[in-house]
Amino acid sequence: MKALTGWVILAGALWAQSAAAQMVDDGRLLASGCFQCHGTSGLKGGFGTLAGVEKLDMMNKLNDMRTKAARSSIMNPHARGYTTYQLSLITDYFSKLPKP
Amino acid sequence: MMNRRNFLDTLAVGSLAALAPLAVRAATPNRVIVVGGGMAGATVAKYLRLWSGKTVSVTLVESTPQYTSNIMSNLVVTGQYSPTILNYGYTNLVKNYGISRLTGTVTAVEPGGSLGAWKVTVVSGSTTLVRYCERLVLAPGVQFDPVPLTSNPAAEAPILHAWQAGPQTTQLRDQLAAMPPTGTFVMTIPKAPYRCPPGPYERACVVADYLKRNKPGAQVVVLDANQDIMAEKENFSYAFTTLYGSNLTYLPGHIVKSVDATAGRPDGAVTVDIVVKNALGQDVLMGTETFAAQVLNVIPPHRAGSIVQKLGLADATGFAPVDGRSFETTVAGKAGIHVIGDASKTTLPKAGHVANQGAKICADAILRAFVGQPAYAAPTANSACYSPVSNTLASWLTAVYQYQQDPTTGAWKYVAMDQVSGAAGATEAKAPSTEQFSKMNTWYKSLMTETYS
Repeated sequence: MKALTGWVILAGALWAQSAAAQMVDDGRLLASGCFQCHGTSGLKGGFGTLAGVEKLDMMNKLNDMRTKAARSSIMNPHARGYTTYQLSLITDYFSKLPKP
Repeated sequence: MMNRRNFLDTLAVGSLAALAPLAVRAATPNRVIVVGGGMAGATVAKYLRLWSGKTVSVTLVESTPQYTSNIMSNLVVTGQYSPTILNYGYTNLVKNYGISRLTGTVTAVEPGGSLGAWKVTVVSGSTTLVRYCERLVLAPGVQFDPVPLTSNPAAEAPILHAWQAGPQTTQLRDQLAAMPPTGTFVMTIPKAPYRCPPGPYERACVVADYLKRNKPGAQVVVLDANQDIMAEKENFSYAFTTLYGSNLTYLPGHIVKSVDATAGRPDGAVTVDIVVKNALGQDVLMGTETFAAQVLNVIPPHRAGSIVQKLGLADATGFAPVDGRSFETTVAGKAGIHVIGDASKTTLPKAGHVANQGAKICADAILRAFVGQPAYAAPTANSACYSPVSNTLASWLTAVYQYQQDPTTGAWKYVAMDQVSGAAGATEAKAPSTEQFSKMNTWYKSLMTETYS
């Protein structure tokens, strides 16, 4: 009985931890600013899928946009509006999502 | 031998000892009631379910069966688009995320005692329902101040604002279509903050464009209570002077004093105070003037929706001050109540795209609170919107807002800044274009899909 109780407690603890992990995600919160145009979780948006895109590819594209004149494309001011650290968290989040 | 009762007791005590406070929290119900199903309300309801793996219970209370989008409604006013493109229902949110939908109006919010943080009373038809929740999110949008009428202050204003899309949108469309060929369309813009900073200038442009093509002898007069164009200044200045130099007059510092109109008629007259700023930034009255209109479109100043006023969550500005990290009210004794969208008072613009993002920041903060964590300290919000300036041309406006502390005042607020150049403020398109008009349609569909499905 005691063993069973222990297992139930352990399961409960794991559930609580996974719930906490699921509920807290800094990268996801920052990346959610992309969802309006690139779709919920980077899928099915009007301007291209971001889910599952390689982090390096995305960072290269964003860094390229940061060097361009802000007013020449709507994405340039976006890339220029985040810090490099924030862009790293954002691209990390999208790159870890499964490819559609 | 342990019986079932003893086993549960042991489990409970063991859990408390070994795992508190996590296990205790897991046992507490996580219930959220969202009031209002516009851009902000729909988004917060969706993300509370999506990001919690459906472990948080969400009830969405909204009195109407579907949302009517303000975004794109100016192109319904000119008859270019059908009003049906503005309609979004709640079926997908209910089906895809398991949100409980309640058609009704919230009539009371009280402390819930042992049954939950807040007790919410909802009147649905002839039924009165009571629901309890740990967090309450209010997304009621705005309400409009009455128009000061000279002829009969008690008469129901016949003047359309069409700043809350719905019946007024098509009524204004019909008035515009029926306007005499040499008539004048007079619109007024309230002092900021108002819903959608570029919106009134966008409307002025698309109406002037419609008249240029359909009633070349007609005129547009824009009476702006603000001292300047409030958004996309270069694009709208270009449109006002170049595209509509012959049929549009833009007059800043013209504040509505009174309106003379007859119930049921589209025409009337607007009397304005003409105000300029002196060197100290104070208003100086230069005189008054009256403008006759064949179609009147008065957008009155607005404030947060009535539930926010009723609960004492608004300050003197009419909007609800909130903590920008969670959108939780800063009013004492109201912990656990959040105000999002146009009803909240932040430095973010009041607009659908931004309301969607603010709602996600709020949802994230509520989910963190449910696992005993503080809100993310440095959230970002963003705006990306396209504005039509004719039936084929559109501009855009974009900003990324960082939540940061003002070095001088110490106040925390959302600030738009280019992290590369250090330039402050939003960025607008180089010039209006047809390519941007096409992207505007894509953006609208994308934003509405992200919000309502």
